[in-house]
Amino acid sequence: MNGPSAETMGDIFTEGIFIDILSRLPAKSLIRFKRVSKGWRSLISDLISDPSFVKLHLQRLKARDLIPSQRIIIGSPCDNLLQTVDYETLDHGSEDPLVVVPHSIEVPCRKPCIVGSCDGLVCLLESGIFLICNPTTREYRELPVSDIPRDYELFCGFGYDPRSDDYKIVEGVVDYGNWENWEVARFSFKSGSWRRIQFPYQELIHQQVSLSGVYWNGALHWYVYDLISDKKSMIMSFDLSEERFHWELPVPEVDVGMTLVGLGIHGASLFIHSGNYGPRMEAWIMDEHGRGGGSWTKWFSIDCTSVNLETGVGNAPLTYTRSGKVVLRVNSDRMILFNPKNNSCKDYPIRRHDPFQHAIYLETLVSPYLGGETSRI
Amino acid sequence: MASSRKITLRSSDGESFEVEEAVAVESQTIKHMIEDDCADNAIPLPNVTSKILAKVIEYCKKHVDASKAEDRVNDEDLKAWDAAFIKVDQVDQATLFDLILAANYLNIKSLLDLTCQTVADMIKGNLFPVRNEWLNFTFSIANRELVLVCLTEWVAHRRLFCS
Repeated sequence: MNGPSAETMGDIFTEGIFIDILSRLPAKSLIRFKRVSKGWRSLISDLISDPSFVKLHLQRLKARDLIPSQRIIIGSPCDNLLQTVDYETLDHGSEDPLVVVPHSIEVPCRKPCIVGSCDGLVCLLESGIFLICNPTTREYRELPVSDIPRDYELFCGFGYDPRSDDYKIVEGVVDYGNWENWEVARFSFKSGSWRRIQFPYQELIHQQVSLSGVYWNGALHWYVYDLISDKKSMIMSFDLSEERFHWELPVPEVDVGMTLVGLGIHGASLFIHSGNYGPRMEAWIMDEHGRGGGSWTKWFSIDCTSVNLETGVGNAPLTYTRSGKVVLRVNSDRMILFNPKNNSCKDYPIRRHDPFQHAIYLETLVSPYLGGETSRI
Repeated sequence: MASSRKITLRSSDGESFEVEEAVAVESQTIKHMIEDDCADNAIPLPNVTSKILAKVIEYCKKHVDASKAEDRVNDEDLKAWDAAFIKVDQVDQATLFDLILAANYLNIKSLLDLTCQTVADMIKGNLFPVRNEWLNFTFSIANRELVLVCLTEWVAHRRLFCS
């Protein structure tokens, strides 16, 4: 092709550049643009419903510093109040109560469990029904139910399979009449259907598995522990591409009296943390190459008495701010920013009454329908 | 390392710039013209004024020098140079938009990324309330160029929108 002529340049590339610029803006900004005029609303709606623009926007977001686009969503199966927290602004000395925004999502479920989050989509579960929502665009979608008989949800998780470019949900369930037999199923967004997965670890039935899986490195991870005997605890993982379970991540050695209780994500790594039943709460980070060759590095150690962190079941680290402070959930009513450099703590009340669950999510434009059926916005 | 052949570039207002081939081929457009043997005499660039072409050449030269073994500049320093190069008081908004158009026409991906990201960063956070008169146009598919112009106006007048 010969070089484009000067007359046609104005029409051809101006649009491409304009879209390029828009693809670099935060999702919330783009959504706000809709309110400017009818023209903008039509342009933005077109872009948001174009899967290739959404993908470009997500790629650009992930290539940058994620922290400005990250939020925490908190909720509890005891009430129908879903809230979002812009935790980075907590670090900027903000006393602004708007930091914790009660986020009303118009969804059919009223008391959901938070299962997990991936690429800005948050997965919720209530009474055996999974709901996917994007808190930024406020789109939601109820998923079809699997046909496995169940009375009890053992574990579940939500993540992305890069090999098939598909989002997947995994759930492990049990039927009271058949307690010795755990069944596992996986839902694929592309196929829109569930399929049974072989679960090789039937010996787990006497151990505790954490309910919500953590998505990391293309797999879902659950912490498995036994509070009664001293069986060694492990991290069970499910590879979303191979659709197989792995039993491969050992946990760090801890001091006597310290109990590891849960997992989370630290940047691009997995972390594991202890509860604060004892005098200290600690956490470790797994390096990115966890498979087989990974090792744990200590992230932080908090002396609970010196920072007034009372013993509690629901205490857990959630994430970290850009300045390196640890964001912690404490009991049911507050968040704490802990500064490991000077061992100081700052409190932020949350105004809830029950222990809450959480997920860290990105503000993206990804649709729960992934460009498939028409979405409800 | 390519021989240091000199290429002449001619801006829309008739000024000639002599640059090393390695610098000129930072532009994929110019690279293809050279490969197609159109570069014996000066390469005309009817869409780029001398003012903008000078800045583009400055950018390309820095990036070519930065990757030479002897003068190896690390990523952090190059990023800092880019930030200084594009800083708003160094480059007024009209120049910034001209640089975007030039980077696009000349197909210099890294410069296009830098300039588009700069505009995105300027827009971010300076949002609403936006008064409709500054964006008072009828949006139509054939008129996307108008949207870019209005965006410039809006970005230039953004101080009016901070309450």
